[in-house]
Amino acid sequence: MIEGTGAVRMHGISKRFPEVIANDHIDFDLKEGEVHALLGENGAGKTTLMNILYGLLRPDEGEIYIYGKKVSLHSPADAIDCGIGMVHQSFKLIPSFTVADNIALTLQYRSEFKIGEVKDTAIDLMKKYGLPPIDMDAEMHELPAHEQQLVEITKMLCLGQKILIFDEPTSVLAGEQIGILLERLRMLAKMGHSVVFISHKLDEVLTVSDRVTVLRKGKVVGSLETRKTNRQELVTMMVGRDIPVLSKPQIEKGQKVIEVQNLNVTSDLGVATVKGASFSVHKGEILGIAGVAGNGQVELVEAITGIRKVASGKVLIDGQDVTNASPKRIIDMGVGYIPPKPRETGLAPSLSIIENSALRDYSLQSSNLSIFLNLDNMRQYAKRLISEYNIVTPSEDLPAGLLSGGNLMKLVVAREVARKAKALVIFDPTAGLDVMTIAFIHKKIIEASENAAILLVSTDLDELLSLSNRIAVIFNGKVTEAPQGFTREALGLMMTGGEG
Amino acid sequence: MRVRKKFLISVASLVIVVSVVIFVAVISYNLATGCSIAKISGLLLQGAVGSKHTITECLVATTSLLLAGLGVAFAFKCGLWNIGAEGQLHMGAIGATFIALNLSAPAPLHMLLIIIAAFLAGGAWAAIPGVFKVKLRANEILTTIMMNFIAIWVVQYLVHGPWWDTTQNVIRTSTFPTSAWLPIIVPGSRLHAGLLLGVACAILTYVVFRYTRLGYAIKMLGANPKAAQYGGVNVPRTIIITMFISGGLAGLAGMGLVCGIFHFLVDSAWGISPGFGYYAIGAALLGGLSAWGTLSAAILFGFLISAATYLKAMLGMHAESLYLIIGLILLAVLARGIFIGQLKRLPGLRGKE
Amino acid sequence: MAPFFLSLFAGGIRLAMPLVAAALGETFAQRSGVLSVGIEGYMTLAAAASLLGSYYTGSAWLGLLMGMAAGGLLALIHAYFCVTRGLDQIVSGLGLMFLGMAVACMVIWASFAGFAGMPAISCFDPIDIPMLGQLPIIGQILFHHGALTYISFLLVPSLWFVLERTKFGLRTRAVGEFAAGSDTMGVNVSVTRYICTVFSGVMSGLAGAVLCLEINHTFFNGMVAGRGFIIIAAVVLGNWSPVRVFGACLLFGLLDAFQYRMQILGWWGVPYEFWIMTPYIITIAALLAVRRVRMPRELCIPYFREKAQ
Repeated sequence: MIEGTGAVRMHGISKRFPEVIANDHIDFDLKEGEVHALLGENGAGKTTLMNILYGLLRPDEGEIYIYGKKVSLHSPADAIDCGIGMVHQSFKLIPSFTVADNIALTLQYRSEFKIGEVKDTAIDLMKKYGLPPIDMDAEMHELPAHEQQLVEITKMLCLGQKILIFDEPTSVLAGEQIGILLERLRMLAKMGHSVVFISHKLDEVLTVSDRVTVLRKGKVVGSLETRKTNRQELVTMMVGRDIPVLSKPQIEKGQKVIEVQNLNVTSDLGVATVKGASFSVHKGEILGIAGVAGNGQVELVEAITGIRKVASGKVLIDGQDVTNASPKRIIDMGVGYIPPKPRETGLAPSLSIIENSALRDYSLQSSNLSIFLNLDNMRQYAKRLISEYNIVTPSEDLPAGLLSGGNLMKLVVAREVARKAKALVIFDPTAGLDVMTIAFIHKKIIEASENAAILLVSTDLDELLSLSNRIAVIFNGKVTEAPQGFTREALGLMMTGGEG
Repeated sequence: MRVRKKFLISVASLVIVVSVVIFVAVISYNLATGCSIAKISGLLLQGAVGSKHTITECLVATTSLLLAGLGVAFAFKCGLWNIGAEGQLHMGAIGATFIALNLSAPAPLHMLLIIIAAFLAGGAWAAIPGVFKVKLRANEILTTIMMNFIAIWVVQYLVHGPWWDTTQNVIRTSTFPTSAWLPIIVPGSRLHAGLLLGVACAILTYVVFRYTRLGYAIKMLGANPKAAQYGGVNVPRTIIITMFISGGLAGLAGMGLVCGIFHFLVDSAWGISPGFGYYAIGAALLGGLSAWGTLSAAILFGFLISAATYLKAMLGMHAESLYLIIGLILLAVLARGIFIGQLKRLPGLRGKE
Repeated sequence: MAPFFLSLFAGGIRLAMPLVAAALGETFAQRSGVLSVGIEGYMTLAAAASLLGSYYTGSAWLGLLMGMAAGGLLALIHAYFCVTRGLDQIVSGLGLMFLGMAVACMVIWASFAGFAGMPAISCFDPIDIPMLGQLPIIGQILFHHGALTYISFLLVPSLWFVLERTKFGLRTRAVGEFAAGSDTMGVNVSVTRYICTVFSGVMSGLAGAVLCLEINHTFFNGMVAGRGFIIIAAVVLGNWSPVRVFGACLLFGLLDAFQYRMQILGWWGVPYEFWIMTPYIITIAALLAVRRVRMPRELCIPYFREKAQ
């Protein structure tokens, strides 16, 4: 730890959104040469605070001082001028551009920079920082997550940024890559950079940071030197109460409901993304599929739910071959699907809650032969879902888009689970939600598993570990079941291609 | 309470939009022709409500706008940019002409067959770009516009070629037999039963959107295509059916023109339509893509177009000047979006408070 | 036979030129994420403006400037609606299209007593390039065109260079692929889109001026005849890449020239209306044939920083 002057001082920062106060008079400071962790659960306000520092959002109140000078940040361009760089949770890289072009795009900001020099500048810099070399001409979407992250880091360093913000950088990594990244953060601090490390993972925070500031519901709970605190204290500060612990009921394995045989699926770009996957899910059990995002989960799930055609192999529901069947047919067979990002794929925000509740069943809401909808049924159904799932809304007629993120997800979950489907395919159901909503949704999933087969695909290992009866890992399109008595580390290894 | 406010806002914005359009149009005509604003406004008013004749003329325009507008509303609501109403309208006219001149039947039956033929012809013309979109992912904006041009030249070919009745003074087909004439509903005027057909279609459209599974699928597809697909909506089938209905309604508008007004088919130089298919886009958007909205907009728009046509005839201007109205309407609809967005910031008007 | 083909190809190039400038400009606009459906109207208004400019000043070049200004003005309005306000690009484009066509008609009508006597105006006459023009076949096809045609030719490599090799081109491409990401890297998304959109309008203005001052030497309603949409088709056909778009324009120009000649020659007894239809049919066929589409991801999607983060 180097004692230095303050690199950043944020004082009294407040930011309000229509439904929530994201930042409530927050004070935060960053010393030169330190790694300062910003800890808190999802929705605590960490990303908002740093987005303000990076000029993506304007604060409603408060001041920001960079190296002692008061600044007003209207856009990322201003933040870049102050020497701030940020690596976001979802990479801000242009997928179809090459590595060189992406770095050039960042550097073009400096007027003295010439496009032709990009590659040399980047390669030299990466050598200087001890970063492994990357193919400059590869297109971004071809690179694995940890290499994309390398490019993000290189971009900032090429610009010469001193203040570096990392937003949940380990969420896209697994296995040894996580350790490597944490090492890099310490290395950057040693080389004189000031690093902000946003995370909700206690162990990582304890490993890598010099100081930690804990946020809860938009307020600062406390700010301590890491070596002077411990896990217990941090948890209490983060959460403030006990997280309800789930107990998994005894399972009686029923017959096979979902079965996948030798499935091969290609992506939109023609690349084989699912290779020879074979597994089955039985009634009464939850099969979790773990994996780092981008290893074929999307295509696998889409193939099973009928949204995507398969290249070869079979999908069977209840023993019947439904390979390449339409989504409607698969829904009619009693399969439900909870997609990720409900606002984008699960709901139509401009239509009413009633209409959205009926989405999967609009053909079943009336007698089967009628072309007419049964509006009364639809309304009753929506009301039922709202009350059973504690969805906060003044009326079921309002557009679904007005619901908050947590309530939106609850609506989607409600819609699928309430159908008493015989199988549920669930994909990243709790990304970005607050702890209470997550617990509620997990409870509902376990309830549903009593009478159904559940395929749970998630990038959140904690979620999988607490819900699944069995776990398999998907890596590079291949699905491998974890052996009995697996450890968390073994899983991490499998997720990054090592042996389990 | 909230619902009433929403209704008031949409009515108010409709009135404001049309007023602004009229205002700008009058100024433009004044600048172009040098006639005084008073004279222009007077002519417009005369053309709109000056006499029983002009009022019925406005409703005649409304008829075409209504039918084609409903067609456009169907497509737009589904997220399909059907700009081809003009071509589908002409195809409907061709279908109607064919049955009118080549088939003999007693009046009600003949009319029914004509209506079916017009709907099928227009529907097929729209379904083709629909199929292209579904099978080959071809953008429907460009394909439907191209189909417009093709349709107009097909009409030209038929009228100047095989269907040309050389005994006539102008280049046109033979006059339809009276069994193919739409009855006049206001004696002494040109206002024909097509208007009633249009209102019936509006009612049907309302029912479809609100009460049927197809309507639900259309709304869902237009609101969020991915969610619709995940939710089990048969996307390709819905797209093609919607385009078919959309073109069919526009085709009925064409039928209304040849069976209700002209009683023959004529070439593009004279023209059965000054661009109703395009105006219909303005009407549908102005009406917020709903059945009743389109009806109201069609009425308003009908008066506007008819009055402007009268003005144009009086001043000796060209048909393209009418494009001024639709251009302004479209931009005004856009501006209304800005305006309503600003309104939402005012306290007390926010939906969920 | 030979003179037929010579005149065909020469005519093809002549007819392709109005398309080229506008198509290249629109390529830029679309690469940055903005779609201008209203090009038909921009070109019509520009044609009228260029005629008026040429008539009142006696200089064809000033007429050209007027035309480009007219196109740019309409595009500026489009940019305001679409980029600053994030409103629907299709509706805005169509509205401006109709507006452009109407204003063009009314202005010409008012200036020349209702199209009664269209004046003779200063135009861009074909220039015979001294040595190159004497070359056997190529000379006749390529080197007897008006100044604007040569300018359009030169635009192709220049704009390719700007798009692929300069910082501005890099920014443009980035904004059209991933606006949020580009914003994060300090690129001003709005300004980039404004510049590209207005540039497209100015190029459409050039195209309209070509139609009026170099090809038709006058203005009449409907003179653009759907070219505004064929231009958009050319951008799609060219897969949003300047050189390919140029190729698509040449193809369309050739078809247009072919179709004109077929009307006159009346080959195979085909009625002339069908020849007129061919460009439109071919356009549809072209749209159907394009595979591996590389449409800019953010096309028609407005960007607002607060909403994206």
